[in-house]
Amino acid sequence: MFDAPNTKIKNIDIAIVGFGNVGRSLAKLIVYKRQVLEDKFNLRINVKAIFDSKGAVVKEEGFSNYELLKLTEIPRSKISEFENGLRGASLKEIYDKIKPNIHVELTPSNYIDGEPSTSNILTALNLDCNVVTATKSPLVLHYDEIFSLTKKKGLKVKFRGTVMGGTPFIDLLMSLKSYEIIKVEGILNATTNFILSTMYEKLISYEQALAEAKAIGVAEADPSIDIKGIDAAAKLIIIGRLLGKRISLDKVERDDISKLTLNDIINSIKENRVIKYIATIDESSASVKLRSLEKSDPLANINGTTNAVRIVTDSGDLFFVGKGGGGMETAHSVLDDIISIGVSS
Amino acid sequence: MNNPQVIKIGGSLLRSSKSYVESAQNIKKFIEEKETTPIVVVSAMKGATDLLIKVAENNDKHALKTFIENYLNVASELDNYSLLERVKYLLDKLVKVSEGNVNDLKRFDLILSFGEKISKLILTSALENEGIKACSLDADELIITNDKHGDAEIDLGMSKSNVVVMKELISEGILPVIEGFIGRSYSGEITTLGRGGSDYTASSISHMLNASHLYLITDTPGIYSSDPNLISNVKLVKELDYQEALEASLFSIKRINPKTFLPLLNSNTEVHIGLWNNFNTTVRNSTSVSKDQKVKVIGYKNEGGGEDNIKIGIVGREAPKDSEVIKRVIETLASDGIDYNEIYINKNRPSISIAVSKDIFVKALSSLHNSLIEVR
Ligand SMILES: NC(=O)c1ccc[n+]([C@@H]2O[C@H](COP(=O)([O-])OP(=O)(O)OC[C@H]3O[C@@H](n4cnc5c(N)ncnc54)[C@H](OP(=O)(O)O)[C@@H]3O)[C@@H](O)[C@H]2O)c1
Repeated sequence: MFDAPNTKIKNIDIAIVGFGNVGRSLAKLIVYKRQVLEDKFNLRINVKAIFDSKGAVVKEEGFSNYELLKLTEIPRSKISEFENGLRGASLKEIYDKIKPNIHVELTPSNYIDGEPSTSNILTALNLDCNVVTATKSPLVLHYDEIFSLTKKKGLKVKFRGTVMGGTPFIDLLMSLKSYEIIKVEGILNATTNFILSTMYEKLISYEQALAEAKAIGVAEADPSIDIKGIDAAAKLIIIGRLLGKRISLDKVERDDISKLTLNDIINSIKENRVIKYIATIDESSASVKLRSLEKSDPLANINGTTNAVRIVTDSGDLFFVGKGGGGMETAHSVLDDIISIGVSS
Repeated sequence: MNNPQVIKIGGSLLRSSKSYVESAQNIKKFIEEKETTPIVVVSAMKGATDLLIKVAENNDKHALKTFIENYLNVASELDNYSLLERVKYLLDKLVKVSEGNVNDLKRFDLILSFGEKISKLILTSALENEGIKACSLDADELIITNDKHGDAEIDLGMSKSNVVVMKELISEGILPVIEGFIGRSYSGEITTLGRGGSDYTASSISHMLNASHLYLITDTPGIYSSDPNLISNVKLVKELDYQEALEASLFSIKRINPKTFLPLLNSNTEVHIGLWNNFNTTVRNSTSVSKDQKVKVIGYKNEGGGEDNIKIGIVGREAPKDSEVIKRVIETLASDGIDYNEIYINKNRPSISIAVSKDIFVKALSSLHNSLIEVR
């Protein structure tokens, strides 16, 4: 052990909006990492408010470790029943009081109108809060509005958790400044890749594989966002933005993987090929399609909930493999975004 | 800050809501007497894991129903609305997982993990009812293991940076409650550590946090000199060193998972085994264990390989080095007319082992026990 430099601890005040899987993992992670953050980065993260769909809890001096852990034990939609809880509280009223440095958006993605996350983020920016989001829909539907306001206000919006949430893929892509990126393609959705690889592994039908995915919690009760390719398309749009391309959701060509039969799988095995659900974006188009790959293709060998991306550049291909998501994994990305805003602001 | 103390509550003690309340009261007493906040590792309720094995292996609906009823009864009797809701949430999840009806080890471990997870919530809630500031921590986030489903090994190096949070919580007067038996694999899936895995979780945490004491609390007053189901005059063993305890567990004594003692081999954690008010067995560093008693435990294990052989183990650090003991073993076997297939005097391990055929092994065990332990 070496002596920590005697620098003053910097307080970062945050509000967590959306307290489900990722939100709760984040609260725990902040407790788990509290000491390390103070020792290594001289940062203290104070969670001052937490929201779920029914209300909020607020503590102006920040929640203690004990309170954060207790909050994660509260049943869904019930945090307003905690001490000092407020039912139906408005973001603006609370932010006016607690003035957080960072707004953390972890509500569900909504591709119809992008709400409530878009309004939440715009409200936060207007109140001079930086933003970290794992929710994709605001970036997919209202990117320009959000980033012009961010620029105008001199604030930051970070979103590492949105694509390959368990990895720093987004940061990696942003760091490729001297490359010309010709194409990005890969497996961006954990649920569908799990279903496909289970069909191959156990030679079962799509319906059976989906049932297995639901049983172990890899698929939601309503998996349509995944199996219709909307989730992967949303990720492509975010990737596209980083490459300077503006695409709308309805311009992404999508296959529905539920049309895949066990016969298709067996035929592909006979031909020594593997069907994968590949999201692709290049100069002129974006698509999420079932593609039959040579067995030797690295993407053909990515199984289960693992994600992988090939970045085709003017100086060769880069290949990136990692965890697609998961509550804790995504919380790590969110916390990294918080830290990076914290140390630079 | 003082080194932390770890308490592991065995499933044999957790049979009803009353027993959760009693465990919480005993922990409270411990805090008051020792003036320290311990770390608590908890097992599943008695019988819960066996039920879940049936659910995982045969999709046994009746076992699932019993499991659900047992835990729901306990949770409702504790009369805490939020607890009941969270227990129900987990039970719903379990029902969904059990419907998957596929046989693979990952799912097996996932199903088995519910016994410990729910037990932890209940104990935490019981502690809070006693006015103790307690928090549940999740082993499937903090305890990192390899990918060996069903019998995983804890990666002490990787888990260490996760479990330090327990020290911080203790220093704030918060009692961390974590479930034993389960962990998280490198690839992010839930793993289980094998039978008796909660002891192993507790000893690993003790190692990682350099605990001064580890209390393994169960329903017997300590480790017996042999299997009390077979030998009537067993004695409680007062002291063992880690190596001896490891050896004894390999000979299936008290069904302690042998992995339990591995993390402790070079540690300074004193392990106390027994009942809440009566710890008869202490396991500690060999330098502080007296050498007077040469044979401490006589256990046995089934030797695989299809042979009808049972291996009897005479455990004690001094036993394989002491010609008196060896002579006595051979004389006893001869005078009681016991045929043996092999006798092996270990040079590197604290035991002498003897292979005998299955039909005479109880007689052999009993003669050896009478002559080597009962006599003194
Ligand atoms: N889970 C992952 O692995 C993962 C990975 C990458 C990105 N993401 C993204 O991260 C976000 C959160 O995911 P999650 O898995 O944590 O979802 P989740 O478990 O469904 O949690 C969503 C949370 O948002 C709350 N919420 C809903 N409407 C709200 C509103 N109007 N105001 C405030 N809170 C509201 C919900 O409240 P109630 O508790 O009251 O229902 C819930 O607490 C999603 O956009 C998801 O796409 C998730």
